Amino acid sequence: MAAVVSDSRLAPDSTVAQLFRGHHGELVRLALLMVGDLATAEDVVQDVYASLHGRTREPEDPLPYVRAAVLNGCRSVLRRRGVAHRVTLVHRASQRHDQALASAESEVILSEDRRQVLAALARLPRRRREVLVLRYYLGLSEAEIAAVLGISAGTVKSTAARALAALARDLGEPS
Amino acid sequence: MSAMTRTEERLRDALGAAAAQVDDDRLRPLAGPAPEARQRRPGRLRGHRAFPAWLAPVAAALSVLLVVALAMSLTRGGRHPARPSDGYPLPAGFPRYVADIYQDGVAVRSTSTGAVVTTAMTPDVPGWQLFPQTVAAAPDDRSFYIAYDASDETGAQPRQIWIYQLTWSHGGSANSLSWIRGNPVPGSDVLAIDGSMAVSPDGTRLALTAASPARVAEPDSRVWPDEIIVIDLRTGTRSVWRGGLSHPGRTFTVPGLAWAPDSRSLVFRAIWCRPVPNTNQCADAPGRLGYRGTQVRSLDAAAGGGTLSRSTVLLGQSARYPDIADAVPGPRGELTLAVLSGSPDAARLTVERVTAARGSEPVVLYRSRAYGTAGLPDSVTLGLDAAGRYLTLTYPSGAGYVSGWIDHGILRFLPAEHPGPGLVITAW
Repeated sequence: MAAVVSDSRLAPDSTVAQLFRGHHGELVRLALLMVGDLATAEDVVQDVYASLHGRTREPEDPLPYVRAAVLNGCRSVLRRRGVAHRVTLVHRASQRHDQALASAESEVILSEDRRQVLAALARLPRRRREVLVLRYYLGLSEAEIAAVLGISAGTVKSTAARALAALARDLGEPS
Repeated sequence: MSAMTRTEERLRDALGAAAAQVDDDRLRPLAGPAPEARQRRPGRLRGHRAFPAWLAPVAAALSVLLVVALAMSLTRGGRHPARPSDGYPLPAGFPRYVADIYQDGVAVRSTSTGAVVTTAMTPDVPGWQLFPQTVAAAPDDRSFYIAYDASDETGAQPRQIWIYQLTWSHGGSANSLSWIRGNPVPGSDVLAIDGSMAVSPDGTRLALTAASPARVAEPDSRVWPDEIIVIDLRTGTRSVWRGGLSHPGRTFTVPGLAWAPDSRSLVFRAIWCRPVPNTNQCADAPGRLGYRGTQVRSLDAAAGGGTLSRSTVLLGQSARYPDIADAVPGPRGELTLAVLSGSPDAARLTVERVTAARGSEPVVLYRSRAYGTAGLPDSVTLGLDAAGRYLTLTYPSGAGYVSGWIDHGILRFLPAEHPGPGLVITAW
C-alpha cells in the first residue's frame, strides 16, 4: 500500500486531485466492473474524491493509492449489498440493486458469452475478482496490482492463477 | 507475455465490453465536498444523477438553511435528530473504543476523538486467504474478537470461519491476534451482517450466525446465515442451533443476534421469505414495506445446542412493527427495537422500547428519517450495554456508516464515520 509521506491536506490542485481528474473515466470503469452499475460507480468515485479532499494526504505513489481508494469504496457498496441480498428484499430499492447486480451486462448489449464470463467473475471471492479486473481490464503488472491491493507480488500471482482456474472451471473450460 | 488462454481472452473481451459503456464525455463532473454540508449533515442520499454545476452552491446554501432550521426545531424540544457528531462530550463511563473493518484489516478507534488507536492487519497464513467479516467487542473494554472468512487457496477444503482475539498494549503501539479455542468454525463468508457476532456480557461465550454447511454447499453463491453457533471461549466447545424453523418454499435467515444481560439467553431475529423466482424479492405482501415474515425470538444458549425451534417468540412482525431492523434485550426483560416504516424511498426509523408487561405502552426513544437504509434494513444496528445505560445506533450514511448514542431523543454522533458495517463498541 502506498505510504503517506506529507502532512498537508489534499488541495483541489494537489497531485492526487489532478491525477483523480485525469483518470476519472478509468476509475469509474474500474468501479463499474466491481459494483455493476454506472450510477453507483460514479457515486463511489465521487465519494472517494470528496473524501480525499478532507482526509487524505499526499501519498508517495498516488495512482495505486487512488485506485486502492476506489476499490475500497466498491467494497463498502458490495458489503452493504451483500446484507440486502442475503435476506431477499422486495423494496423498489432492492429492485434497483437487482438490476445493478445483473452487472454491467444490464446496460450494454453483451453477447451471451460475455454475460457468462461476467457472471462467473461475479461469483469469485472478492480479492480474486479484484486481481482479475486489475490485470485483465487495467492491464496492470503483478507489482502494480500488489501496490494497489497492499499484498505481495507472489500473492497476486497465486491469486490470479487460482482465480483463472476457478473461472475456467465455472465456464467449463480446461484451465 | 505468454499467449493467453481461452479463459483469459474471454475475460478480457467481456471486461472491455462492459467497461465500454462509460462515456468520458457524459460522466458527472467531480466535485469537492461542500464544507458545511460535510460537517453538518450525517448522510448523503445516494443514487443521485448528474446535476448542473450551478446546483452545487445552491445546494450548499440550502444545506445551511436546513441546518439552521434543524437547530431551531431542536431548541423547541423536537425529537428530530440529525445533529452532527462533533462537540458532544461522551457521558461518564461510556466505552472507550470502537472497532471497524477497513479494507483487509480492523481499526480500533477512540470513541471520544475518532483517532485510530491500533490496527490489526489480516493474518498472512500460507495456503489460505483470509478476509475480516465481522467484529465483536469483549466486555473487558480492551479487546475485540474478529471473524475471518478463510478460503483454502487449493480449494481442497470448504470455507471456514477463523476467529482471533485482538488485544493491544502500550497505548495501541503493540497488538496481537490470538487464535481462539473452538477454531476453525465451519461456515461461509456471510458474516458481514451487523450484529452477527456477540460476546456474552460475562465474557465467557461468543455467539455468531453462520450459514450451515449444507447451505454453503448449495450451488447458489448467495448463501445466508441460518444457524447459530455458540463457542465457550474457555474450553472451545461449540454448540450449534440449526433447523426446526424452516417452512417449505421459504428461505430462512438469522441475520442478527444479541446477548441478554444474564449471559444465558440470546435474542435473535428470524426471517422467512417466499422468494419470487429469479429475483431477490419476497412474494409476501407485495408493495408494502412489511415484506418479510420476521420474529424476534429468545434462545437458552446454555442448553447445549439443538434445533432453533427450541427458542420462544418474543415479538412478531405486525402493522406496528412492519420491518424490525434490529432488536436488543435490556436488563429488565424489555426489548429495544429499531423499526423501519413508510415507503421505501422515504423510510422512517423508530427506536422504541417495549416490555412484556400487560398494558404497558411502548416508549419511543428516537425517530429519524432513515437515510441510506432503503433496501438495507439489516444495516441498522442497535447496541445496549448490560446495564441498559447506553444505547447506540449505527446506520448507513453516504459511502459509509455513522454511529452514535441516543440521548433523550437525540442521536449524538461519534466522531468517526466508518466504511462498512461491523463497527462495535467495547464493553457491551
